[in-house]
Amino acid sequence: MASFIKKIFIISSLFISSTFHISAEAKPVEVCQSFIKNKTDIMLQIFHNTKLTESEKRRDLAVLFQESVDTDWIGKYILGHSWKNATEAEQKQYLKSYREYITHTYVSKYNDEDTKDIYDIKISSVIPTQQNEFLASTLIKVKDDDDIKIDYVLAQSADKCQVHDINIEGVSLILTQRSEFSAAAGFSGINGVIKSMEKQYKMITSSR
Amino acid sequence: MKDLLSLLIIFFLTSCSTANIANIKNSETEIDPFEARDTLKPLNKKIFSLNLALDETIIGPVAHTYHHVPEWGRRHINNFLTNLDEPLNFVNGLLQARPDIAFASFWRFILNTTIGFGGVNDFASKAGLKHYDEGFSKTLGSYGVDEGIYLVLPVIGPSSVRDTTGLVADWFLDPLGWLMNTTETITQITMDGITTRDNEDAVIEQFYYDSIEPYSATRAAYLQHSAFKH
Repeated sequence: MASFIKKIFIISSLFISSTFHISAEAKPVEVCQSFIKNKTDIMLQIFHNTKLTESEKRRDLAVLFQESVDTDWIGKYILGHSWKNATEAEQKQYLKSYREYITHTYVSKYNDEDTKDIYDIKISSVIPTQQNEFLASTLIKVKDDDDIKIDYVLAQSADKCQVHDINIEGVSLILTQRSEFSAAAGFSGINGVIKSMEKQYKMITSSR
Repeated sequence: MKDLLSLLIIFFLTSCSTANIANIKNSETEIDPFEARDTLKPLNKKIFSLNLALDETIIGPVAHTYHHVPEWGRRHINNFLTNLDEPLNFVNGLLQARPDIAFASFWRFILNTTIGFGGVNDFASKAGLKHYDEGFSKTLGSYGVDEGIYLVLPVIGPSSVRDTTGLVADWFLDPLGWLMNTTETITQITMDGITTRDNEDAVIEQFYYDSIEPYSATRAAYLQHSAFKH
């Protein structure tokens, strides 16, 4: 049975390349294929880089995560109608807190033991789902274990690709967090959500 | 791996249709689609709080202590416990009319029990026999039975009507279960619980302790993953 530990750690490593810039001649599908290929190649390099300590890998992953994932878009989406009701100052503070929270929630879980058996990442398909949006399906190949299926929703804007959702073994990041954040905002409003994220962020960074 | 703590029998005969996960993202509605599956929410939330407290005080610390066992030792224990599930996988393979699953599970059990020294070595995987993780819930799914409403079971955690029914049925269907005495059964269940908690540590930490609203996050993740598995 594939260890789910590995699956969750992989989340943190899916964003390890810098933002991928699109050449004028490339077709959108090819651009997204290259984007994913580029990310996964660099991910494997970091995983298997024996010169970096775990802490250094986590630091690099955090930077690359923020460059590759559209945390502002995700942050707005998962808050639901509470976003519209918030003031500009609240929105700004919320997005800043969310960026720190989501990055460190995932990246802090990286460790070498859980990724040492990953030897390849296959891109099964990249298909358009709607205008400027693509679904990239990948399979993480793990030695002596089941493949892990991870899908990405990629959004393509003016000159770059960014990740809008990650679906690991059927679990969507944005659907899960929309349920979570909408409920939290319903209990305590956007300021309560901000306080909760800051509290969790402090706990995560102090314990790891 | 064999479902944990099959002793607990909670059998609700209510159900509702499964949410169409694929369409949720594009929905304009502000209603949480997972909320609609949670018709026993007040009770579920109480049990969830109890489980959280149990995990913080007993189950989590025990699993973290177990994690100090060297990796090779934990792997052998996992192999041993996984091998004990093969007869049940075989039965469910037959019930699903899947001879490939029944065949693989049967020979995995034979080979690992003998050449694999009682199952501690997974010889069968090296020989190319794939491990299937089959339970009666999956069998029901293969018959088209809907998942039903969301449930939180004491100690076990997130479940559904179909998964809970599957747990109970597996308890009776497991051929090894009929051969083991009470002490052996309790030992197996306890070890299953500890190894599962250890194997799923990152996921449990993520949803129980790193979420800003653990109940909703756990429910959403469970319902999506369950729909994906079946």
